[in-house]
Amino acid sequence: MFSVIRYLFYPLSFIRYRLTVRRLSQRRSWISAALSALFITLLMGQCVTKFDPKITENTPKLVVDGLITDQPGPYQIRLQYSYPYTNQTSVRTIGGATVELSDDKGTKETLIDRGYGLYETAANGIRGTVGRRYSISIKTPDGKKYLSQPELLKPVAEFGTVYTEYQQTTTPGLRGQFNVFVDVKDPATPNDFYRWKWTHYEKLTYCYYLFTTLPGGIIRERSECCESCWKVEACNGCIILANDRLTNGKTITGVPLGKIPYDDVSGYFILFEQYSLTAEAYQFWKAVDSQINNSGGIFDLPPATVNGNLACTSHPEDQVLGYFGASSIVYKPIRIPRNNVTAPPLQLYDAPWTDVNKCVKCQESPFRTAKQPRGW
Amino acid sequence: MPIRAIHFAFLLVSLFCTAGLGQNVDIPKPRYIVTGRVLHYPENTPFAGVSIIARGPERIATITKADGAFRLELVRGKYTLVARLLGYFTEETSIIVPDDNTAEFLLRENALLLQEVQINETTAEKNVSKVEIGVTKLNIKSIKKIPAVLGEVDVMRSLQLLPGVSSVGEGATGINVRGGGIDQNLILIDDAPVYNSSHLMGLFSVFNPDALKDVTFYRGGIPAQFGGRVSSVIDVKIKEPNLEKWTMQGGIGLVASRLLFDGPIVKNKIALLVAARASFSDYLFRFAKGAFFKGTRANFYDITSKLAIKPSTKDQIYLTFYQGKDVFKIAGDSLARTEVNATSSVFDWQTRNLTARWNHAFSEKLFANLIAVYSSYTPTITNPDSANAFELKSGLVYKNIKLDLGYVAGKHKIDAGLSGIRYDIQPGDLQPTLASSNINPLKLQSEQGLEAAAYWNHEIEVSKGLSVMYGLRYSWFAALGPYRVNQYETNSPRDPTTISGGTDYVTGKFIQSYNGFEPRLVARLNLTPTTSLKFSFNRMYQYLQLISNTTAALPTDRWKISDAFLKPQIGDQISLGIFKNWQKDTYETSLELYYKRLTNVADYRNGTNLTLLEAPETAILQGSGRSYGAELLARKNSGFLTGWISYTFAQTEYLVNSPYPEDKYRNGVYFPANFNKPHTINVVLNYRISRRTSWSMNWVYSTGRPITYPLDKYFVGNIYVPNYTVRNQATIPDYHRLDIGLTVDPIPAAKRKWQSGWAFSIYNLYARQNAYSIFFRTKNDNVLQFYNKVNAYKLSIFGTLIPSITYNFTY
Repeated sequence: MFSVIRYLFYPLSFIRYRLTVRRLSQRRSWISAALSALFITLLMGQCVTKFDPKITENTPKLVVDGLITDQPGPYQIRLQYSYPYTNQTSVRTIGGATVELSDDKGTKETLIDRGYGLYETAANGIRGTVGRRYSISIKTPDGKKYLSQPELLKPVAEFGTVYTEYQQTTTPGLRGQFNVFVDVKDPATPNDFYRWKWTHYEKLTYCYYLFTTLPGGIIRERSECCESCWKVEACNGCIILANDRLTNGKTITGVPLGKIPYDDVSGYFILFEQYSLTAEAYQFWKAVDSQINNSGGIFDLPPATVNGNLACTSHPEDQVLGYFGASSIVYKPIRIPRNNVTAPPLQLYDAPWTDVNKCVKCQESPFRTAKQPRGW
Repeated sequence: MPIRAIHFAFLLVSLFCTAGLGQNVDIPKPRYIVTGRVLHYPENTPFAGVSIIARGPERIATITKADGAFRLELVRGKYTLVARLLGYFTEETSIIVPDDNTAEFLLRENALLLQEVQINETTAEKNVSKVEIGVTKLNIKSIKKIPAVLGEVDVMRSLQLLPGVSSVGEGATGINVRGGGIDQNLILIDDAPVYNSSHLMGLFSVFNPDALKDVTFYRGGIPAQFGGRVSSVIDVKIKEPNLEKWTMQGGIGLVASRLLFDGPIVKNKIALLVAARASFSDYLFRFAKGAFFKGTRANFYDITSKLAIKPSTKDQIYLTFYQGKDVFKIAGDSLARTEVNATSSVFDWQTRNLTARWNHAFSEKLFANLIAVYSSYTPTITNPDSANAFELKSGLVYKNIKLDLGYVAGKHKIDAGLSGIRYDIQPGDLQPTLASSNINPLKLQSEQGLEAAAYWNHEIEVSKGLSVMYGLRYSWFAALGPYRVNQYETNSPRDPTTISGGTDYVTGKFIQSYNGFEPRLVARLNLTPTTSLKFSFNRMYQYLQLISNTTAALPTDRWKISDAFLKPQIGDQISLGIFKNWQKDTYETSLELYYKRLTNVADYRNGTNLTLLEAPETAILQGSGRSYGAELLARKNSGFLTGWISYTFAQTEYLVNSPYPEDKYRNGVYFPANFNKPHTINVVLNYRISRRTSWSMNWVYSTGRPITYPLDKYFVGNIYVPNYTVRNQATIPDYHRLDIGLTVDPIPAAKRKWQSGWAFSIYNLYARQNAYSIFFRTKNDNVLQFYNKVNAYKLSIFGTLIPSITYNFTY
């Protein structure tokens, strides 16, 4: 259902699609608003439809995705090949490569090949330190050699003040949402760059749900978790960035971190992470952000190659994609209260469940963990 | 029945006069009655309101009644009866009174004549005989016949129907002429330059159609009088104020309304024209509830005014004032220009132009123009949020003094002159507007420039068949202090990190100067009286350019003069054309071929934000461009059906080498320009069905503009990223569109003062969802990126048909 017809007032077409995508939950609401304003939609219809560009060409390129932080390791580097744009198949990972992480003091460590393109430092191995520069060198099984630019591990400012604003929505089943913002006190040094990530955790009672459709109706069965288990929800494809170019030494205000649904009055647990970035890393993520949020609008920047900080030393003409970064991280676990709204959240009808008397193990996955989250 | 009442009154007056004449004669001569009828050709329907003039022993006039009949009382003698009405061919017949006592006329429409303002209309025959190539003169009447979007007659949109003109897409500001950028067109309103030719972010052009006299568009064979832009000249002239009587005209449209007053202050000496136009489009947004439109406001106004003073028969003084302003408020910093979080941003931009012109005729042959121009363009971005409140102002001020001498005698026409320009540019001044604002002030260095030019242009009829226009322009430019010029480390590309120092230049000190000769030549050779061959060459220098790396330029984008790093752009064009007219100039056909070379065209480093860029030389790359094409045109100039069909083949490619490692994939490779559309067909037709009513339609077709497709994608940081390498290697789907319009003009013969007409139009009649662009999205917040499907999407801007209606009136 992504082939949504968008109706916009025409001169607004420069408004980044990002805006509306961030408010995905609201999309249906504003479509109905736009339809009610039929006058405008008739006059100035703008729409987005699916299109098949028939792209075929591709030469696989090395993709590096890695990060060293000032937090305890192990640190991970992922090696893959790029693949055709419209291809929906899974990632082609690279095994059997030699990956070496080194710093500007000559410390070197060869990473352990964990399979599926994942390379890790040893648990008691190298430890990221603020002020030091790190780089990686890679030798792939086909004999090509790659090297990254030395990346400075910059200190990060203290985590700022997080606050929320309640906003009503017209999304069916949801009365409203809390928009989360952060204000960060920027240090006096110029050229500070920031990135935020968040993960939401929710304690699960039931680890297994089963629906069986029979001629007489649907049987709903559920099983409790055998141990403590948390639902994990991370920000998918978020690139939340800020810089102090125009506000150096002052407070960077109102950085939008995300949106929380008002579907319960319980506290909503989120673990925020604030990263320091180098100017190059900021440029890289900014460019990625602009490429993935391309709306085709008339004021979009033209698509361009996103340049990482790696090069192929044995074959200089080969393009190398991705980034090896170094960041200092501060964490901020927060339980955001949701009981400060007068109107109660909308209750969705829940059919009766049959509890099965056999517990189910908490399966580690990107969506579930048995490890207690930091700050819970 | 007011029309009839007026006719009746007129008849009474004429009868009374006739009677009065008779009383002076001692013995009244016997009078004989002549009756007759005027019919409309070809329907043979009665024709009211036609003047019938009897010329002979006495002159008597009358007007036909509703049934087309007229009645005259004439004394004995030979008469010529003339039936006349504006917009129709005049018919004559001879009668002898009292032998002939009836007459009948069939009046046939003259479509050309109806288009009024004939003085400036280039007649068809001139197409072959004039020493011009690539020049089109559009009078405002013919522009008004083209179906308009949202009821606004639009000069820039009309120009896009001409061969050799394209744009990146619907709603984009500016036009691309024969492969040039949008900043390479010199747009002049009465000699004052216009830097942003559109209102409402590209929806309307800034010219109030009521106030315009004509538009001359040069895309080749540009005379030496013009300089400063490499691609074209769009010379817009404001109507001369009426020295005889006061008139008023205006119109009410869906989005904008206009009003014009025009008349003498001192009869035959001083006259004033004031035209204003304003949008009331805010209400459109109020209809739309919901978060998306919340807080959006868009408005514009413009005022065009001209004062004419005629102190003597030899002198004329004109003062033209133009001011246009747009305000556009949107939610958020949606354009992500300043990278500051905001709940709303206001974009506004204002043009203020003032021209003073003094024409003096020394003799019949020699005359001079002294012109002084002041022009300012000031875009601003403001954010009202208290924590981040700021105002980002920029501005461009242009001052020009120009002296033109003209000499016309026999086979010679000479124009010579001098011009001096001063530029003052403030590229960006960011200021917090509240004490609580966290924004630090940032003011970019202002830029100053001087441009001087001298020119000579001579048009000469060498022989019956050969005419030549040659000209030479010499231009000189200097960037002036106060300014600090950055120094960069040797052997490394210019980047903010490689600045090693700087040189300060004091006020008025020359930082860098450029100069060059700009030869111009047009030659016309008549092969037969209706066929001619034309050749032209011109070189143009451009010292001021727009710095913009988006597909369509923003009104707040920066203008920059040439400096120590940025060299002036140079355009060289040669063109060859063959022109032939058929059937007494009813049909006009032409073929023009051109080749253009552009030097120092601007391109940009990948992914740089140009807003508030302190060292623009770190983002701008200069390269070369080549453009060639063929333009075929067939045009019908007279009759009930008029219009043209044109086909254009054009190719524009740029080559920009970059010292920056991230751009290495572009080095040594020509890539098609963003607006490169190889094939274009335009059909513009106008069919006059009656005196007042005409249908018009235009159909446009063009191949899609180039686009960069990602060749592959990769997964990094839990995000799919498209990888673009080969620039503009594919094209978006073809574009075509049909518009129709119906114009009901005021009744030409009606004598009443308040006259009105309607203009209806439907844009994009068959509601084609033309692609504005194709874009690629991997992002979907609802699913984990890894499982996300990757798709390409097509964006259509005017994805449906757009009807509109405008009410026009004159008084």
